Amino acid sequence: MFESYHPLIHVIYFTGILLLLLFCDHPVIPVLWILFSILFLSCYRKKSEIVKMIFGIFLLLCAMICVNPMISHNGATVLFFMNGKAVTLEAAIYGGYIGLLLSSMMLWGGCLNEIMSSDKLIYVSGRAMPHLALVISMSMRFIPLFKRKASEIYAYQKINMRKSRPSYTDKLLLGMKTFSIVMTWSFENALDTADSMKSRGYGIRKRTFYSVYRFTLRDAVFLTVFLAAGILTLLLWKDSGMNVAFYPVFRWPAWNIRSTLIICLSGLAAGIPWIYEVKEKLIWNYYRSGI
Amino acid sequence: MELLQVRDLSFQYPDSGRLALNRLNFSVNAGEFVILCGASGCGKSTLLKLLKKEVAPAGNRQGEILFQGKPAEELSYRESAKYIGYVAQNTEGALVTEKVYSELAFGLENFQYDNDHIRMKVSETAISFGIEELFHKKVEELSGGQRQLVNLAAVLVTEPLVLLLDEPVSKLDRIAAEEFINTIRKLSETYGITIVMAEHNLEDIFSLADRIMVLEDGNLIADEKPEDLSGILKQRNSGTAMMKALPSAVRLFADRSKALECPLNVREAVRYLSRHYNMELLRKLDEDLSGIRKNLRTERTGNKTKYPVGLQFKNIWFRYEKDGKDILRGAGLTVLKNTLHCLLGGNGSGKSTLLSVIGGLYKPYRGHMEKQNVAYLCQTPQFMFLKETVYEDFLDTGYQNGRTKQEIKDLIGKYERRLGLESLYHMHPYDLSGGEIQKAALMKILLCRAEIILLDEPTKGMDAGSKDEFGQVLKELLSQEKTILMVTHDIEFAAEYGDYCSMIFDGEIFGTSEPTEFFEHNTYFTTYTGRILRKVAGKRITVSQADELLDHYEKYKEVGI
Repeated sequence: MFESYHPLIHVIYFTGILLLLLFCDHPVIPVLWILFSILFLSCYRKKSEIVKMIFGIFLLLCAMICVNPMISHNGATVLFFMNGKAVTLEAAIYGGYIGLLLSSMMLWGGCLNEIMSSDKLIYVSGRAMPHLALVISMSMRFIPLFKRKASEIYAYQKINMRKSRPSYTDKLLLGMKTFSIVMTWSFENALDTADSMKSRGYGIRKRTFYSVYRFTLRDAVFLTVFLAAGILTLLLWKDSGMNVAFYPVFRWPAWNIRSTLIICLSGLAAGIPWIYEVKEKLIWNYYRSGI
Repeated sequence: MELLQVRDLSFQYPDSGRLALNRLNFSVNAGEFVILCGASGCGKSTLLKLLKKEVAPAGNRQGEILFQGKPAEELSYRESAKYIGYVAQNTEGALVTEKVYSELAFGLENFQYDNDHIRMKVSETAISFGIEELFHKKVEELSGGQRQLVNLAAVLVTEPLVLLLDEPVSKLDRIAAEEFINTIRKLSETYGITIVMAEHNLEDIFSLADRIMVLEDGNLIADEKPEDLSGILKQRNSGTAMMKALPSAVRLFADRSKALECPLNVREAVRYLSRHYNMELLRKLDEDLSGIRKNLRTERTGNKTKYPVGLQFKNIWFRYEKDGKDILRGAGLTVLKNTLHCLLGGNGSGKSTLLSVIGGLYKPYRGHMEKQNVAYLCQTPQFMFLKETVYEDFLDTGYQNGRTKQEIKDLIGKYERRLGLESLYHMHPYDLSGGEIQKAALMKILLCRAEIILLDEPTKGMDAGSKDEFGQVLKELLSQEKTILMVTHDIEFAAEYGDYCSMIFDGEIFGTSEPTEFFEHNTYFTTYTGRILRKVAGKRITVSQADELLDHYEKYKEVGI
């Protein structure tokens, strides 16, 4: 599973994908990414959610295709006039392209969310700044605690309220009361936390940083393949003239060996986690059939 | 050489007129398990905190604390952090980070160990404390008992030479507390860790300790082996309050054992009983006595059933989410006026949810619950306080319930002595100890104009004396036409003060009966006395009931033979 890789791999992978999406403005690249990320997410989420997501992407595309021509009137191929303004084919295509980019960014966020737990963020920051990592970790601990306490206090105060039909002002006062109590409580709790930290030696010297992650061979293999594919894509892309022109006339970039290579390599880079996932599944099934 | 030595230690808080600790002298040897007990506010916590430099309170300190022969204040912070482990009462505040594993690593990170060393230590500790399954969990997802275990493990991971525990189980329910005590037993017996533990509920730990130190108003009044303690306390007049804190076995047999060795726990007491008593005779005498009692009781029960209904609901179904699990499954209960009804049950049985439903916070999806005018004492009584001082808070509650200042004063005056509130008025609510704040919260409940009182584990963290006072106040309330429903883990309290007991399990309520009948047939879920006597007189579940039988037995022996 991609999840179980070293957090550094995740950081590099997601940054790399972001760079690819931003630099290579070729319609095939977001399409490839969308396909892979949906396949990838389908390993983690329910079928119904995936169907909803695909439907959402489709809606977004349609909306962008319709909306962009209303705003932008560039382009040579006029489809029809609306309110005296030209509605062009190019603007519609550009809208579709923007729609693709938007959905691929959203999926990028979705995948990131699935993979990057708070632990990994803390780990990545902790390598460089152990104190920052501790602060993140402490706030991750504190926020849910604060929320839980606030709801407990609210519940308690509400039960003890003498009125059976509270007015809006009553509710407002109740909210303020709750907030005031939870603040006092947090402050007292923070003092205890400070004591606990001090008594376990916090602040004596600089801290080290413990993590449960290890960089293993498969991390190295993954990193090599990904970096090779990614860097090659970017190198080949440079001065290839593959940029898509939308205005005044939409021109599909030349289709040659170089462009095929670029698309294959970027597909490889984006698809590695998914390829791994499928490979592992096959291996697992194979082993299980052996039992 | 002693590991820890205290000489003539006195301590006074800055704004207080009296000494919190008065010329204490004692020492702790390596491998010893010492229990520090005494009523709440006697200075237990202060003493423990003084032993640990980082959390020592500010104030005027005199005398010496020597750690391995070296004055404690000369220890570097690193040495102090490493050698002296301190586990606080507040489990939520003591845990610092988000995940269990990072919590375990916290102390080691501070000592700048490298990753491999930390990995080794953390896994070793996790295995030894049975918290491997929790290793990757979030601290927020843990139950109270699990949190305290993690807290303990996180302190022990740096291998302290002495472990200081400040009432570690006072905020835990009974089952979690028993589990934690088992861990402590393991630490002491199998790992030989030196432990100083402040605790006022001695029932489970008494026989485990090497020595028991008793503090009273800052004075060390006893420092004895468990088997000698009751004798020493007897000689002092002030010791009677402390006697109540002793385990049931000791309270029953300390006087009776004379030259023999007094049993210190249930196991020893059962053995003692079968060895030195004629069981047949005991059984017969119990029946004789109960026969007389039965007549008395039918009279009393007759009275009770005449009481009007105070709170009634039937067939209540409740779940938090639409697709969620049912928390209450057809729960129904009738609580009579003028009675204290105790609801007993394990964790997750829906006890607290039930109180919230009765209080009108949630609506059941099946069954009807009328909006009741209730006063509710929740598990964290701090949440009830809003003002800067306890007294202001009382006034505020009183005004909200439409009472005049004079009325409030009268009401407080009536109960202040019994609840021990006199010295607390000008304190900030958060500065009160666990037992004190429960009592102050009860005062607030008394100021409400509510017929029905709901109590959610009110005796948690209370010492024996406070529990008694609390029970007495409840009894007095009952004579004022109130209905009290109390959810509790405290079997001893329910047996002593409850009028009726019911079991709540798996969202249902059943087995409603008087305490003696309720506990009679239980082997495990019963009082300590009940466990000792279950083979001979199952109906006797409190120490006084058992005392009656044993006294009768002795008289019979004297006269009869």
